[in-house]
Amino acid sequence: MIKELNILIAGVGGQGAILMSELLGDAAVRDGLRIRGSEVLGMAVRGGSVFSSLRMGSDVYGPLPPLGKCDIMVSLEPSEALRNITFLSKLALVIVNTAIVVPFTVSLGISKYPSLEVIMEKLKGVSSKVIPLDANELAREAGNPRTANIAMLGALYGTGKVPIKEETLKAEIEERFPPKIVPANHKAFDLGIKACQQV
Amino acid sequence: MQKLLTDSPGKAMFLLGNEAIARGAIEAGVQIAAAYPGTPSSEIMENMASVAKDLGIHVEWSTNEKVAFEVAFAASISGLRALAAMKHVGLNVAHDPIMSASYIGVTGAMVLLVADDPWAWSSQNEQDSRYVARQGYLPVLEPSSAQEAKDMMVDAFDLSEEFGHLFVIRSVTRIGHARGDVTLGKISKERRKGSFKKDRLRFVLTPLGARINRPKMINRIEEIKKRANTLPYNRLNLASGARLGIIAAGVPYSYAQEALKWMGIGDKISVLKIGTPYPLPEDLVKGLLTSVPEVLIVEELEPFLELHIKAIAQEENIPVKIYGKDLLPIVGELSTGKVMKAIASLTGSELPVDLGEIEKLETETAPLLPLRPPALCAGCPHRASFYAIKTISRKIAREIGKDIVPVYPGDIGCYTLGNPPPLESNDVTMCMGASFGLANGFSHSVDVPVIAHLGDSTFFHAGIPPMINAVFNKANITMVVLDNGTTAMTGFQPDAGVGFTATGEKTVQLRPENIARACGVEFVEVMDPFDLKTAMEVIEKAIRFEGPSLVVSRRLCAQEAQREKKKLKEEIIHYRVDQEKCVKSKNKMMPCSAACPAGNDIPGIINLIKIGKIKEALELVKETNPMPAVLGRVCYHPCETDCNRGQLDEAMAIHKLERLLGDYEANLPGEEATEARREEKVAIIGSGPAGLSCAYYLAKMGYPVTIFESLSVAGGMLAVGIPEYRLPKDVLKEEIKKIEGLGVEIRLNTQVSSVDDLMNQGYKAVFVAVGAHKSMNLGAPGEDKEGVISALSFLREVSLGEQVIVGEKTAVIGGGNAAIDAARVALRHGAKEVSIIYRRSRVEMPASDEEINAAEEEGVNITYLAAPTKVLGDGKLTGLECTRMELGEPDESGRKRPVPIKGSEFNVDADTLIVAIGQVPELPFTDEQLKASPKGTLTADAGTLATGKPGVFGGGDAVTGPAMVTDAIGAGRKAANSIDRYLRGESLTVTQGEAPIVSYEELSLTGIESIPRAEADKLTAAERVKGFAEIESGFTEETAVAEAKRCLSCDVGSEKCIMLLACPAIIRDDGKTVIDDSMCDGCTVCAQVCPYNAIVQE
Repeated sequence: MIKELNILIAGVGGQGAILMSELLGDAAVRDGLRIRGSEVLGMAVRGGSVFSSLRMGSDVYGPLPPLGKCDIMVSLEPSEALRNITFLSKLALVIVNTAIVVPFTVSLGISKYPSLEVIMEKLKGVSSKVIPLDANELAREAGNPRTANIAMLGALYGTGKVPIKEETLKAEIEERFPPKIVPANHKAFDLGIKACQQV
Repeated sequence: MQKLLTDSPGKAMFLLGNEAIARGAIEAGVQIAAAYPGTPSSEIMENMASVAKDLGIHVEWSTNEKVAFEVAFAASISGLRALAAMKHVGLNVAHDPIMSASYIGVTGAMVLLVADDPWAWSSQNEQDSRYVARQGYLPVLEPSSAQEAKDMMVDAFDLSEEFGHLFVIRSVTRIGHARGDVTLGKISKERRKGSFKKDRLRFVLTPLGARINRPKMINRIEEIKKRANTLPYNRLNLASGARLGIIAAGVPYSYAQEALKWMGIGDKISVLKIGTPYPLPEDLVKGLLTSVPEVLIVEELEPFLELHIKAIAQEENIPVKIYGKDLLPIVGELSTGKVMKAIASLTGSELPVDLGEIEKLETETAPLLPLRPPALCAGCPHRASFYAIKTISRKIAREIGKDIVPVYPGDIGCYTLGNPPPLESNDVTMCMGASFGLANGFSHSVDVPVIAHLGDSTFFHAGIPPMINAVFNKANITMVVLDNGTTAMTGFQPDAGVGFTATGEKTVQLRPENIARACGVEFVEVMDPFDLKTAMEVIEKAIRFEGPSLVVSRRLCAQEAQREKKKLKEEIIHYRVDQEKCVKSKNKMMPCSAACPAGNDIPGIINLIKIGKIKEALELVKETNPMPAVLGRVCYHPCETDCNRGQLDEAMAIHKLERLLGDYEANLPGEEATEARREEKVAIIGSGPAGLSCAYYLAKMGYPVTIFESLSVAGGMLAVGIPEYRLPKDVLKEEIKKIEGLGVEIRLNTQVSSVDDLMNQGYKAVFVAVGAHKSMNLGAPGEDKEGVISALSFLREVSLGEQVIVGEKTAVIGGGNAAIDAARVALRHGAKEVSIIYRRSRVEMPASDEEINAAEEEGVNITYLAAPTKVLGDGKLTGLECTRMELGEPDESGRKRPVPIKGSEFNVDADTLIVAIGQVPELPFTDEQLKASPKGTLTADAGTLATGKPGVFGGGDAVTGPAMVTDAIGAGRKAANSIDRYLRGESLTVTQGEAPIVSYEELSLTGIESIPRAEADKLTAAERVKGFAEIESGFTEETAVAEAKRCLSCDVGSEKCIMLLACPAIIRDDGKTVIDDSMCDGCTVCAQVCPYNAIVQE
């Protein structure tokens, strides 16, 4: 039984970050793990910042990982990874979807979007490894553009650091989605594992 | 099957806190559950509703929290188990019945679930509801995890039934919206039959009832207090040898646990976990307080526990130092880090992480982050409603008056997301229904249109009483009900206007418009916000209606509409931008820059001033005007006449902004001469603005330049034509010095009579910029008498400090700026009466309005439609004979020709006559190549400024006749560029396309309110005529920056779709405006807003 593993999932409302944490959490409980989590709800389709934390282990009490203690961050959007940078521990692993979602404040000219290079540089400065992936491309490869979050879930699994079985995760996906779209989601998951391990 | 119905006691599930709470109610056998949606509590009742049918229980979304509480309470005094759930501000709505409920107690069981929101993630305040429970004598259970929340719910019902008293469970966002593994318990299958046993003394709270029940209530609380000491949720853990104790409840308890574990001191600190903040387990509290010298209370928000515990210590005389809000914040959420810091400050322990480093990282990263607040969805009807409301109401406000700005009270719902730019839809938001309530108040307090809005759910919740109040108490307000057919923000729950209950049963569908009419609102209309034109017409009628008016803006929520379409397998019609038709302003000219003869990049300059970059703005203006301090004083600013802001309220004070840059430069060292030196010498004849400008730009390019000036002073008309009160001599001297500093040589007192001579002296190019310094004669007999002087001579002599005599009665003939200048100078030189005589009317007078007004203020008389025919006097002037004129057909200047009226002669006394009827250049060096026009001006090409003689260019007044200083500046730069091309052997001709100009109609004006333009100080007329002190002051930098912010930025005007609507589906992709069809909902609003019809169906 692990003592403590802190995972953070960040993204923009509507990208399916909450769904990812639900799948992970359900799978973890199924595999007998003790797990806490917290999230910001209501941002779906309203385009606001979303983050969800998952904390596994016997030594875990609070809903939020303390700043500087997050072991893995999976971000569905680059600037959202930056937004949550203070959660990262020095040894953290960061998986970032490189597809940018521009907020309306930038279109209006009342805010600026930093360059991808600056974001990656900042993330690298505080973690042990940053893995950039184009999850939207993986989703297209899998045959369904809405499976980007599942591809990222696969990438997370592909790090080998999450003590949940692949079968459990795949079973969760099967139970969660309508049968028609399960194959694409499974494929996205596998592509995510591969993409992560290639980097 | 709904997962919460899983009948497997002992099984672990990963549940959301709110799911665990609902599961607890299910396990407890709740039979009645009522709530109003409110984040972070909504999921509780959503889950209850989804199992209602299966469990055979009644679950409802009540119209508001007061009703929800009353519904549940009625069940609880009918012997049933009931649950009411609400967020903290919802508790405020139910405050009235809650305060009296404990007096009555329950016969069944009742739990009130309240969800607080530290940090106000989705609320308008951070209130700590434990105080409300305490006030109402309601015991509070506070869970610290999802598991505890479920267990507490089950036990709360048992306790409620045991004691016959209501119980509160106080949740927070980090419980309700946190997840955890939860072990399930047994589901109670008991279903009671409700029965209400009458007991008037108990249930009827007359004053007698209140006085009888209160001691009984207090007794119940005392019993519960005793029980608190043995409830498993309150746990005292004494560590042997501990010097510090921690007391914590709820989520802060889990932070404390985590902090102690992380710091490795868990076995050294005593901990009292509190599960019942009210009533406190006093025995346990005393047990901790007496065991350690110091206690830290780890508590979020208010010091609820802290103050009660301090009171216990005081009452019991316990010598212990209690810390709390002195070490932990009262604002916002706590965290493991904050708690660790507080503990470490008392124990002196080392922190396992460098909090200072984390803070530093936070400070470094924060400015890089793009703002990403939640926004109205693509296709949201509220966007259309707000666009319509604000556009039409601003138009009406402008009609009423310049300073009229409507007030838009707002409310709580998805539509609150219209708050950020560009819609800026609401001015005040406090609580449900307040928009209509405050609107009533505003209508009696401020004299502007008041237009309030709220949603359909909010209308039923709290909007009806203030609407009735507006009718009853005569408030002239416009009320808009944004009916999107759902309670969207909290998760699309049904309200009374939807036609379905929480459990999906069909029911009566109420209509806000019917209710409004029934309540006596005389103007009630329904519109579809997606039809912008009709929407604006309806809102206009509503605003103009005398008396309260109500508009229902009805269109289904975009998310609900999408789901419906998907269910019916209907296609969503997307829209796209036709790139051929889409016109971006970058290809257009701004009216200010288009009007400026010097071609200043006025929007660019203003943008820099806006952000305080004065130096950069100065550099930019000098690219087209080398003397901003001069032009910022003398230019007649045609830019301001064409400024689009002038059509909204008042034109930008561009003239004064230019002056700020010039005055700023006065304090800087002059520019240094350019490195690259060219060989070719260039001669410039005339040191007026055209000559100086040409010299500046040539010198910047590295050419050696010599200016030949016939007078004893440089500056041309700037020095000898414009009076000092408009342009102080030292300002001009400074500007000229800066130009000389670039290496330009000015030879004064040097007349040039032959251009060929100059060429023979080795000058490779010549710029003729002699101006128009020769006065035209009146052509009236007697003109040569003593006392008659030309305006140009008069002004020149005054400027050069020569002896000038002005008589008491001065007459000035002419209507241009020279005439006005001469008149005002004469006043300052001793004339008691000064009259200007002009042959046309005021409308045709060529002088600038500002000058004419200034002259009149100073006491100059102006006689229109008269012209002198004879100069009277013997050798010395005594007066004029004038004839009245009338206006006939227009002449070649386009102005009406003055026609003498026969027999209308009259005499004017005068001892000084100043003639200012026209100026021409002196051109002693014309020949077959270098020609003069019939009017007497030098002939030169308008585009290249080249004359007939190769290498000789001409510009300024010498070519155009008298014009503005700015025209000359522009000509000088043009000439410099032409000369440069000539000397490089390049073609002189430059093609310039005709770019269209951004019109006022294209601009994004939503949210732009009327602001008057900044004014600078000015001397009064009485002060002015005393002498030649500069009349106008400039702006301070602060005033200039504020004025610059008024600029409408016409250069982004035509992205109306993005700038006015900020729909997330419209994005910029590689410089183009495109619509993301994965987000586009086909609402057509952007297509209606685009002035170019560039948005079309896919």
